[in-house]
Amino acid sequence: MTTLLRSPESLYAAYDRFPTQKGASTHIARFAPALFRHAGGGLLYVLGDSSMPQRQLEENVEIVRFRREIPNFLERAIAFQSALSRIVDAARGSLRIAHFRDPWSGPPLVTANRSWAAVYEVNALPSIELPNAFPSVAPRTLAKIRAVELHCLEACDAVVTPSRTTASMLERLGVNRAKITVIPNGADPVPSQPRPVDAPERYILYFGAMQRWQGVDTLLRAFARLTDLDELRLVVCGSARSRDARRLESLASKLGLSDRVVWQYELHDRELRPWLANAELSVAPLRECARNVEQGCAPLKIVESLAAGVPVVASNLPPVREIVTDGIEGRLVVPDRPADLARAIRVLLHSPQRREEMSIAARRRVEESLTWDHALAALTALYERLDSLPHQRGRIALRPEISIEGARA
Amino acid sequence: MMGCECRGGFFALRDCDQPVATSCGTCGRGVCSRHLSPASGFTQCLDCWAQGHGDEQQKVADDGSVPAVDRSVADDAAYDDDWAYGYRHGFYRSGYAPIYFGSHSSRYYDTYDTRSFDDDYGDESGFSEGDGGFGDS
Amino acid sequence: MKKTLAALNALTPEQKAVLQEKRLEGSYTPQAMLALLRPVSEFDRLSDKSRVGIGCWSAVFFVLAVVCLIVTANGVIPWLLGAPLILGLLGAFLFFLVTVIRLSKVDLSNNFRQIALPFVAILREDMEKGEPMQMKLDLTAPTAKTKKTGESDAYALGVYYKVVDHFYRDAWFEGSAWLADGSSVSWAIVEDITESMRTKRNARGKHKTKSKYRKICHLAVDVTLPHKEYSVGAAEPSIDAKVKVKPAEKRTTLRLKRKVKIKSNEPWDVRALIELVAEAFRRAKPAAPAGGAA
Repeated sequence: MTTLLRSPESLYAAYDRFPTQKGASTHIARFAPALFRHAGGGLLYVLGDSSMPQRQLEENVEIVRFRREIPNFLERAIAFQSALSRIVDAARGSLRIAHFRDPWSGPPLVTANRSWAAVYEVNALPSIELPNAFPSVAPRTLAKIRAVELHCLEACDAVVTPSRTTASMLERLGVNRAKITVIPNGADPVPSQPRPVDAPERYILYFGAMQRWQGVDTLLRAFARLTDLDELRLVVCGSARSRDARRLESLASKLGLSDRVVWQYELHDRELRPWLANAELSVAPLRECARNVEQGCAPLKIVESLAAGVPVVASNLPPVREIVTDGIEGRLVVPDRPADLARAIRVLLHSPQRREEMSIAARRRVEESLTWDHALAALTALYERLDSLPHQRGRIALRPEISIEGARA
Repeated sequence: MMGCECRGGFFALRDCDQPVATSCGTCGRGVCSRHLSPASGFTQCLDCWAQGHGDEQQKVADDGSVPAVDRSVADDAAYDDDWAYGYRHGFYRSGYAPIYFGSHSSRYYDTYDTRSFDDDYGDESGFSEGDGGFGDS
Repeated sequence: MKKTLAALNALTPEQKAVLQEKRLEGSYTPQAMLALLRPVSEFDRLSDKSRVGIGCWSAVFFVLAVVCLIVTANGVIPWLLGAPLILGLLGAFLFFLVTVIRLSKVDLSNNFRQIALPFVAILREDMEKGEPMQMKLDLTAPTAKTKKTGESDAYALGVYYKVVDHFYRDAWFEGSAWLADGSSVSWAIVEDITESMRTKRNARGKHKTKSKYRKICHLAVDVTLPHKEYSVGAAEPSIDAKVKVKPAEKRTTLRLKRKVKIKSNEPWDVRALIELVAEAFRRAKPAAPAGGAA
């Protein structure tokens, strides 16, 4: 049986490496402390690597990292969940509230005989996103994963999601609307920053992850249409030098942009901020795909750009429209069309006055409703509501929604 | 402590949750006496035993006709728990995904599921090396 | 044979009654039913295996007795030695003959061992322990006289100068059960068997008659799903079956029918019946959540 360093009042579980420079990590760094503050202490259970301590105790918070290196993604997730089950067994006596981010963490936290409230934070569903990373994943397996997601959604006491688009998708999956709380991602206002020493004179910025659904290839093709602007550079700050990043570097080279694109990787937040604050524009060229349109997303890069007073040129998609109003804080363009994107960038670059107005509006938009304070206040209010409610737990039915036809062995 | 971690049922699955008698020598789950496989000498749960022996399934022909049962297979069947779980394993393997009423999932995914993830994923496709989750920023 | 007779003798009076009557009707828990019928099934399996062997031995002893009689009558062996030998061989012949007749009388349709028992064993997994199922099982031979519905006029077919088809209808298995999730399953199986008696004259001018069988098995299953647990949606059919959906206030009934064609009188694969029930559950989805706490 797992022995814990203290009896946790709350538990935040995420199948994410923590800390890293990725959006998920930022989210955890904001939400988990809010949970622990609310409960008076707790346990954070996340992924880790050999450079990170397996156990950490910081005042009333214990951090436990699952560090076993298992090459197979699903096998690792299963082992992660088994270890969490043992932690939950050890914490059973003291646990009052649990918060989890994925179907790998959920099942041990939504068991029928629990005495704690369970909150499922849905940023994305692996049953939708996994095929992007694992194109050969079997429909039968996706159906199973979807079944666990549905189980967690039904058995938990509350669902938190950063986007109304995602909330609608969850409703379509049968989740009771009253159970869902939309808490948009936040960002803290960024004061003016010194210009990075190696920064080009004039540049537009893309920062974040580089999966195909992010549409960075559209941005590169759009940028190829802006080569007449001699001094303009594109700075890409990737969260990791991944296979996707290498693919994009190769594309830039093919487009003849090698000397016009600056590639940066794994910048720490404090290193990224100067690059962001001094950009002419920030671009979020999200693709029009099921992942973005139907599932929804909440691009932290857009909120952080607004917080730095940097106008955004982004794809006109439902989750983006929740954050940016076209012509106010930035421009929204038809997704996947390099010509339209290039035109919008060119027009804004030629209009400093318009950019200034957008910059002011962007800061105001964040200060009014998109700071982390706003998000955490909403989250804490939800925890308080859960404290005062009996948790409804019953027998749970779940069923793969995805057709399993064609999955016969 | 959790009860037996095996799942009963065939067309729909449900948690067993009977008191644990011992743990399965293969998967390590807590198992009640009913879900220990007699054929394995009570060292394995019925699921693990079935995974090793449950593939003796007949296939329906392409034209929809059903062949007569191979007597040599049927003759060995005592239609006990070992047989039923072996049959269940084979039936699920052929594509049937049952509704599951319950919450245990440690053996929910089988080798056919994990095989899909054997490819390298050492990139940032939301599931970068050592990083399980979603890069949503 | 020794094993077969031992298995027969080990049966309880209740189990022997099943063998004699070859019919079972009533309410049984699957556990009790399997406990009752497994030894019967084991005996039936051994009996099927050994009957051919016993029949052969019976014939061998008869032939030996006749040979011995001829040899003794011709004075090759004195009667003093030949008579007891003939009597012994005839005794052995009679013993094996009686045994094979006795075993044939208690032979059960193979449908029992290869379809009914495994189906009950599968359904048991979905039932609460101790919950009974209703069942009606007719294990008399599918081509018993009582099941005959008619026969064709004689006709010629290829090398066969005389073919007569005998038709049988065997409604041998039906029942119903409540499952642990509140669903109910009922099933009925009817087999239309055609026994084709074909006579031809072989190269040596002898008339030879043989039987060929074909059958169409009608499988019908009703699965009733409670709305409390399930909603019923559309699904791509995974098998060739007719499906009718009948919604009601608290439950939805799915009526599924399937035909299985076999070119022998052997049992079909129980999977055909299991797939039919599974086809109903494939269309089931979890009921919409009843309400949230937040």
